[in-house]
Amino acid sequence: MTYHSGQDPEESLPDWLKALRKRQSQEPTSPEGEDSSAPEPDEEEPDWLRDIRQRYGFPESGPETDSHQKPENALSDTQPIIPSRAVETRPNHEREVFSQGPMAEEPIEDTPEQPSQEWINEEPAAEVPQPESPRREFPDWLEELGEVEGTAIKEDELAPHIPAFTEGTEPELIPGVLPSWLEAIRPGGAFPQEDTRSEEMLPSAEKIGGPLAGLSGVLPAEPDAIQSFKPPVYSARLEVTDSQSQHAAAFKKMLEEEGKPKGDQGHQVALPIRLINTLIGTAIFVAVLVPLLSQSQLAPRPEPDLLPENAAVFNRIDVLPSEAPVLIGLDLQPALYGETKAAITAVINHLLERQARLVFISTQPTGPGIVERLLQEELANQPAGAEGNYTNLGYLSGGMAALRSFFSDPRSATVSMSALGLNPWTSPAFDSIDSVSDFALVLVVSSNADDARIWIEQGASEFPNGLIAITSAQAAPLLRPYLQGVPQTLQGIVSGVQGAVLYERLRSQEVGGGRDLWDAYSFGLGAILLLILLGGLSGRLTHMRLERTATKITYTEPETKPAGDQLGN
Amino acid sequence: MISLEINPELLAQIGLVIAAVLTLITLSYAFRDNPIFRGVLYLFVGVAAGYTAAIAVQDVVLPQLAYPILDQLAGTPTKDVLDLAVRVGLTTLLLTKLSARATRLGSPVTALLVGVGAALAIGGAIQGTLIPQVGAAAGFFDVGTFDLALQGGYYGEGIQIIFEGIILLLATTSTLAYFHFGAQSRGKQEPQRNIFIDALARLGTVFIAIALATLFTGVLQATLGALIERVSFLRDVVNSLFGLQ
Repeated sequence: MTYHSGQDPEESLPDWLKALRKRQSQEPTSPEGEDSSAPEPDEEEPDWLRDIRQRYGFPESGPETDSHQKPENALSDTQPIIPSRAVETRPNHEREVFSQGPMAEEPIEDTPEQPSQEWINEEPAAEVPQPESPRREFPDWLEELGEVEGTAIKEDELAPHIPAFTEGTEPELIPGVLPSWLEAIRPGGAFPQEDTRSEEMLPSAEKIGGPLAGLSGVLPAEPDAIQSFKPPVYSARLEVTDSQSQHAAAFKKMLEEEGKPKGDQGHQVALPIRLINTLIGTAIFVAVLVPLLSQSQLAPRPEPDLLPENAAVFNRIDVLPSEAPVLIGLDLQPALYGETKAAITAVINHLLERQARLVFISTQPTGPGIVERLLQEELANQPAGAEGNYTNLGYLSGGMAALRSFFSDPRSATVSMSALGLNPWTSPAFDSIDSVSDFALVLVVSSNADDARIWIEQGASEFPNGLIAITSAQAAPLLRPYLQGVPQTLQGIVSGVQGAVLYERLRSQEVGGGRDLWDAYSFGLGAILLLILLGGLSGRLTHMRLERTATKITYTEPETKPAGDQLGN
Repeated sequence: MISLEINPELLAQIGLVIAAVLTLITLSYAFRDNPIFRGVLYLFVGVAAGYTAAIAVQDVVLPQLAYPILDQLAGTPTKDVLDLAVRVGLTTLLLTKLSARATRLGSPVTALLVGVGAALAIGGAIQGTLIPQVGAAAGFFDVGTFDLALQGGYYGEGIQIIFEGIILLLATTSTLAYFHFGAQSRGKQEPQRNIFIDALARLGTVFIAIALATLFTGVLQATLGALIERVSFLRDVVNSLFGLQ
């Protein structure tokens, strides 16, 4: 049970305790606490004993008649203990003694020691007959002096109970709180600033619950474990340093910016920049469009020695026997199909001329469609393309793991062709194919280096005749180190328009897809180089001009300032 | 019943025109961003996603999971029961990733996929990339080739071998030093790299810049090749439509 400090403790008591107190208050209290049910002395004492008492003047006393020995009322502990002053319970003779001093009526409730309570409850000593002691005769002045000393002796004996202040003249002392005069003379720092008293000793200890609710200065009657205090509220606020706060704010800002949609950059570009962009785009278009429209063949084709990796591919294909099975992995993105188309066409034309048996597979969903388009449109003039004399295994789902499985056991791999109920391995052309190493040559067609790298890393050891790559121009720089690896994991590369043109030249072709694009490619590349040079030169000039302006300002600043000051004055 | 027969050549012409228009709209981005370009961009993204989903359903889900289950229910099993149970079980567990409450059930399958992929990638990288590249770098310091060049009187080739070896050594060590971020703290000063490592790292920036420029050149060549192919396509469409050649 809990209640606040401003709440009446009586209101927070349980109902049963309130009823108990009410019942006790309604019960008739006999004077001096006598129990009405106690037997009358006249009824129990014999006549001879009563006579003796009356004869010698003994009071009718019994164990029950003493006030401090009378039986306790069973409900008395339910009433709140009213703080009473010990001086009120003292016998009259002690009051007289205390009243002799100036501080006689000071309460001593702050020192409730057990011995003092015992003598408080004792019978008045005046009623006990004391044997008379022989008394000497003294002069009057000496007797007066002796009375004063006797009084002083009595005061010394009762020193622990002598109050320090007279009641009513000084404010009532609060337990644990220093008086103002003592606070003033206290040396600085000599006492702890914090109150080290236990909780139940504090003035606010009235908050304890249970039957003693509302009472101050008492120990809790219940163990702490069963007290139903309101749990303390701890602050959930983190204690962070300024640096941590700054880092947290920066991190939060980054996360918020990540979630925000990017604005339309096109509207934020300044007009001169837009004009420059338009001019650059127009220049490149013109450089590309003019050779294409004129179908000129002015640009010389590159020498075969320039790209030896192309020659390596040509040499490997050129020595293939007829009907040699060739595996082609077509992991090509449709976006770069147009750029790679010339190189693919040149190489596959060469393979078909060698009457190789082509087997296509792709680890990308768009691969089978590109294969069909390539063979049906670009290579339609070839008998194999026209007659469909090739095998398209289709899409191999599963990425790297599926490719590894295919290299280990190609017949058990599930490709889209076998998934559709067809079994390509029943064809007589595949009788000699039990593993990937049975293919005479393996080619990978890729638009980015990562796809080709997977083929190299997972299957390099499986291809005894090596691996050849036909790639986009952007993948060639990253794949070139594999050409020089020890052991060599890539035997040759044909990449981009440049590779296509060179391969056509190796095959002594004067007309081809690469050759048609070569002039436009050369002029476009030249225009781009020129624009880069012009842009770099312009940027450098602008930077130099800004530097020169800044230098002028730096040198002229000391001279202009006084002039400005004079004008201002 | 009316049968609608369309000339295939006409269909091809219509397809060419649509492709040419879409190409022109796409190329217009080179000059300025515009809403029509964005519409075509969304069209490409949607078509690519739809095509991929159709391929996945047609070539993977139906033949490898749905049809075997139906065959099993029809009493004409085409797959082993254990094989089918594993497929169905793993697929079901993976589908639980769609639910926030049952997502833990799909974690073992995801762990299997990631673990197998990581093992294959690491093994392949070591065997197919790291070892061959280390061997290639060490090959430039083959003393036997240098001795043969000197004994044969090919002093120019000998000097070339030494030069290539020095360049390769500097490029390799300086590039590796650039990615060495270890630093030592001296008292209350900020942690600083070793002076020798710092000098090598500065040299490494030169080689890294050359490598990045090479990659940029490759991207530029690929982009230019794609542009030329598209412009060539437009030229062919115009010639085809107007009978020019």
